[in-house]
Amino acid sequence: MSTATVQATAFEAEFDRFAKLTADTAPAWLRTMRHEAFEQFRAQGIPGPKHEEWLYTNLTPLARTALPLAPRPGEVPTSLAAHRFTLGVETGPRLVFLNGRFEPTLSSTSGLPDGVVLIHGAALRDEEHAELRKELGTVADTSVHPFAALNTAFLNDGFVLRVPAGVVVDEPVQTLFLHTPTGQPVAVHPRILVVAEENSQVTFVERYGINCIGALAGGTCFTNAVTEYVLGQSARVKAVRIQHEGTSTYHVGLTAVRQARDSHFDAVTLSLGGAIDRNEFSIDIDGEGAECNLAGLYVLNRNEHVDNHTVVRHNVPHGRSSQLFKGVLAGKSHGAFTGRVIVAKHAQKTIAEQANHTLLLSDGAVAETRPQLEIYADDVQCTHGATIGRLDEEALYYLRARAIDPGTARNMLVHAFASEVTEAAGSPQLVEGLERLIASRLERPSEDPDGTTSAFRGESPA
Amino acid sequence: MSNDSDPLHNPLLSIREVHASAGGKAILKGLSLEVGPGEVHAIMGPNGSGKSTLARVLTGNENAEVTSGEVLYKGQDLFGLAPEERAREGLFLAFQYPVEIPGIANSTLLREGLNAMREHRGEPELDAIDFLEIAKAKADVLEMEPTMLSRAVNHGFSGGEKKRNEVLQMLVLEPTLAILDETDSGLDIDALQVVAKGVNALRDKGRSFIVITHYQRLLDYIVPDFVHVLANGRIVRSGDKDLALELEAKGYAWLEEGASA
Repeated sequence: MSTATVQATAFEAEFDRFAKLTADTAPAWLRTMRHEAFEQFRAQGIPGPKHEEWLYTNLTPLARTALPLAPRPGEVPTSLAAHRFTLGVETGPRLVFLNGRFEPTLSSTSGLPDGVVLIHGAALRDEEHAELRKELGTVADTSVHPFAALNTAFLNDGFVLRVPAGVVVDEPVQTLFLHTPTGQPVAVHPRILVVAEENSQVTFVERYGINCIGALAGGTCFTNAVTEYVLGQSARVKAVRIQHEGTSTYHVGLTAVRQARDSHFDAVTLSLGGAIDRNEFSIDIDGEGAECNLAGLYVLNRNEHVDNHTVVRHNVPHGRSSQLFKGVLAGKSHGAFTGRVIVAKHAQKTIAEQANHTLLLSDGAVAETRPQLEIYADDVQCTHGATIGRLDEEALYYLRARAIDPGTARNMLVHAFASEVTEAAGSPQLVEGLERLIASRLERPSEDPDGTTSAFRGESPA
Repeated sequence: MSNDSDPLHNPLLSIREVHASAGGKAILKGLSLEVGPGEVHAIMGPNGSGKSTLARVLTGNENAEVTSGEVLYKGQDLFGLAPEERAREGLFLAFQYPVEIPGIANSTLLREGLNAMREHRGEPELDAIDFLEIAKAKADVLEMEPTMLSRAVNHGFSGGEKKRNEVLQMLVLEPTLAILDETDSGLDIDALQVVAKGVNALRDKGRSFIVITHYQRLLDYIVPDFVHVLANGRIVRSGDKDLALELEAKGYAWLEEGASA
């Protein structure tokens, strides 16, 4: 273990407790997988701020806090207000997890075409379903991602979505992971595997939220999510990831993707506030002609912190990738972006672009950007660019000269800045849903207990 | 047409001895001007004479700092109003250099603006469909494709498209006093005629215009009631439309000499 990490003793007792508790329901394969993963986690420890990959985010306080798995919530809501949790797409498959547990009463698998497999919980653990989950754990590298190792160690109620060859799933498959705050520090480790077989097509939405509005109960939630995507030849996957668990949450998410020839992976990720949000993408372009487009937006206030971290590995020739991450930072928030593109020696004709743009709405906000291009091939087009700026005063004046009040004008400009990212979601319905979320983030004071929403609209940017 | 002969007449705009600076440099040096309802005033003058600073002072642009003097608009102190409040009171500036705003649709800007004005007047908000109907009809007057409405504000527009877009905004917002800041600059004769058509469509007894221009040619199409020459921060000569012709023939030098004397 390097000195840049901290030993996570607090998790050891919790892991033992979890192993005993689930001894009866966990088959041998799962017990083995968990133990190996926990050993990997123990070997790596919790990365500290001197760790090269974790310069901007310090999660070492987790090492000292016992974080038991979140209990089943005492009360299950009878419905989820549709407009808040379905992004305006009212129909179609929806899977809801409360405190990490699948909640059948709030979920529906309607709208899934024949042949699409969706298994979770006991069915996922079943020895008989080995073939359906065969890619589980093969994309996220637990030997270098300590939190992915921790996630695997606590794997219990994850799920697998498998789209067979040639099948097009029209409606987005939406998942929702909700914390019900209990006042105690708790952890959840959501785990997802999405397999899009050859020439199939699917839109997958992951959403992490809090099951209450307004001021949150005390306590720190720790969400440690791992999502693996496997794209077969010519498969097309649109992935939407939304994190708005609020300021009492530490969120670590890893999206690990493996792409075969000519496949397309388009992701849109929104970070709408959390105490700490580490949002990581790890992409392997393993087939020629494959394309990956990552678009991210983070809108932060107060002391919120987001660390977007991407690694795109071009392992073969003729791949294409783009990354566009945009931040809107108010209050004393902190937004970091580290984007790495690795082009292997033989990955000629790779086209890779990367951009990170930040809008600072206050003097106290801090933006950091670290593009890293590692190019070993000699016939490639790779570009990166970064800007950090304030709202365009001339544009603001222009809008005011057209009778628009300054608050609305600022909001319009922030939305305009953000729209490049939300539009990447493609379908008008999803785009609209995402824009509504951003609007409520910028405008709704009820979700801003400190009443500092005005930081986004304030008269003075200072 | 003359103000003096009408004792009941109140000017729409009354600029009194205004001094203003930009970037620390004195630009307007005691400018006075009255504009009555329904009048079209052309302001001509060489570069650097203060034409654009005048437009900025009237519309509340922070890049122009008023050091003394006052402006009454509809009888109230104009400098006491924020830019958006002036706009809601019917003051409109067609920008010399319209600002590009990627990500905001033309129609969004226009609808927000129009609804802000309607709210100010106590009128109900227009919904997207009613608004689009109005906007499309106005675009038609200017021979603009309706698709211009869904494009981002001025983003990637040609110079002529930008100017035409300013006039479209003017037609939609229906101001009481419109200031056109070199709206003709860079336009070919066809575009110039279209712009003039837009302005003339709006002319009526209650609506006034201040047309800032370098060239007499625009005034063949938008015929002014008064022509003023601005030089060295003051109006040095006023006349009717014939003054513009005289300026075209003789240039400004003879007036500038008079101004500094």
